[in-house]
Amino acid sequence: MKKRLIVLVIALVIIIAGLVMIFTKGFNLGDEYGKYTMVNIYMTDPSNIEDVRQIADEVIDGDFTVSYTDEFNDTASIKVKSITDEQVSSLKEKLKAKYSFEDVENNVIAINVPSANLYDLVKVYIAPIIIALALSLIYFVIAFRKLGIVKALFTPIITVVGIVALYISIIAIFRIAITEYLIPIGILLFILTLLGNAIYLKSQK
Amino acid sequence: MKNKLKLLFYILIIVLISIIAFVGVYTSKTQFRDNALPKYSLSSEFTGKRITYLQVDDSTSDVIKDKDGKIVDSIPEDANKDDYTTEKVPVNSEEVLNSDNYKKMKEILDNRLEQFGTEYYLVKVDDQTGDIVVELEDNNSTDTLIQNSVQKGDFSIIDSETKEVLLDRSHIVKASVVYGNNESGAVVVYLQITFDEEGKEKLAEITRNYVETEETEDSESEENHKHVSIIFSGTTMLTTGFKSEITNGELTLSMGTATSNSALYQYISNASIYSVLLNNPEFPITYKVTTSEYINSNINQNIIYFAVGAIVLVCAIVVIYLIAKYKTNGLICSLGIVLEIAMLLILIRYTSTVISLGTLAALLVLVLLEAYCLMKVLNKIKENESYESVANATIKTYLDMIDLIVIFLIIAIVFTFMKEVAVYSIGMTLFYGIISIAIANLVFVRGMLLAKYNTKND
Repeated sequence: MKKRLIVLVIALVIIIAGLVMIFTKGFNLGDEYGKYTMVNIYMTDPSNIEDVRQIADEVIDGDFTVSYTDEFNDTASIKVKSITDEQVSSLKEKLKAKYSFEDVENNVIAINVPSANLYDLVKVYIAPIIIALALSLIYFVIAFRKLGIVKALFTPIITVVGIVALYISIIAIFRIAITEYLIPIGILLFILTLLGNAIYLKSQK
Repeated sequence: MKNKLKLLFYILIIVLISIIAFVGVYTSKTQFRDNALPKYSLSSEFTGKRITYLQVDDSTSDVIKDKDGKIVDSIPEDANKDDYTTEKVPVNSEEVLNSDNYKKMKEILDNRLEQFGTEYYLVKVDDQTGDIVVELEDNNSTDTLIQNSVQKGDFSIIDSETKEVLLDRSHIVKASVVYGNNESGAVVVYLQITFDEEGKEKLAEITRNYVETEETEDSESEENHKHVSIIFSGTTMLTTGFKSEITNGELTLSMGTATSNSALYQYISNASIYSVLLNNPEFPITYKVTTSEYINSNINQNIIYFAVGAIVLVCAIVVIYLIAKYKTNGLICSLGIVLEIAMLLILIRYTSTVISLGTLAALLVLVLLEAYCLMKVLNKIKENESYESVANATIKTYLDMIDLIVIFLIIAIVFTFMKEVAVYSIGMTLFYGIISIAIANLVFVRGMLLAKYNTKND
């Protein structure tokens, strides 16, 4: 009982800290979903990406990534968190000199990609999670009515909501970058917690 | 001897299914050796996506006015050019360029893409500049989808000669796709536009004034050449007159008469596009598509190997634990895990279940569920190693786990019936996974455990 209370208090502290972080600093949207600039270089022939990387390295101060955007290796993309207009112009000049672009404005295009709305990333999962949780709760109440409705209903609600809230709080507190991997992990936790409740309530029965 | 053969038979089948699933069946029907199994369907997370960049149109258009200040299409050839003035007017006025309209743009795009049935989309908007980036899955229909989604969506009925706007989209209540059969039995697809009360009256008036009448020898009526043009997204959809007055406020436009299924599909698809665009507001701002290109997936081969490696590692830990704790029975059950995964992979291929990152998470859930189930079976046998115990252990375990299975099926079915690929791929994997587990355990694991028990007691 005492151990359970300690775990509960720790969990509550983490969730409160997470909420504070979310409301004060928000989430770390990372490279994929945060704001960034994409400089696309349309080369006439397949080219060595290392040359592009070297030129970008001479112009850009901060971190950046360079990759091919297509399978023909004739379009490279520089992804950078922030870049000034002067740096873009300098990049264009150097790339023009390297690849002899006749129309550099069409060969090198900088695109400012806005940040994603977090709700857009998770909205498709909200309905199935709520429906699955609601149906599971109905089943728990019917199947484990002998344990009492309070236990059959509130144990799954508290554990599922608690685990998901803990997961979100940890992401917020440790400034873990939001990537496409985090949502499937959240789904995994949701499913395992619901299944865990079925096992726990059965053992109590 | 008979039981040993039985055991060997089960093991051979498991090996065979595993080879088919993990290695493939290679045939040389062409000059290359191809895997006869269907290919895995991968989600855009793995294959890459199309990124389309939309920018506020900052161009200007020429507005020609005559000496009375009336806007005209062009200066007539025989007219005095001094009587006309040409003004450069921005396509988007300053007033419309604000963050509220940028947000509205995103909302309209989101709704359009959802109603077009797009499986994956993400619309990002910059509230300050209005720049929009649309991420879509890349396939054969992506170009058409982009083309349809970024249409302004304006609609009006105008006089084809004077260009006077007779009815605009502010009176539209809804647009829907309807079908009917003509005299020859062919299916005619219509776009039906329903107007509000004011629109209904206006439509009745238009159709009264623009009724097509033909001159006949025995009547005094004259041919009516007055036509209306129906303008959609800046282009003339059709120019027509009306056969009779429309009093019910419903304008029904024929999209085509289908004589084949493919034509029918095409007409329905075209009508649906118009209906989606008319059921959503028109764009408050005119945008231009700057670039639209395919971007390779962020998830490289190493990350896939890592994810698959993690699942293999979990399997390996389970297998080692089962063998260490339950010896030969544990080894037999480990084969059950291998078989479950092998059967699931074959089912995923044949049912075209899309593999997403969520699918990998579902696969992990299935491995853990199978491990839990097998441990319960093995515990039952360990408690009482009699023929009845071995024969009934699997079935009894399933009955014991009925609550777990019901919850599992609830999740699987709810997720399967969602329309988003990221969600239904998880549901389908869970569903086929539980089938694989049932077959692996009830047929193979049970059979092998019984054969092993009988061999030992022969």
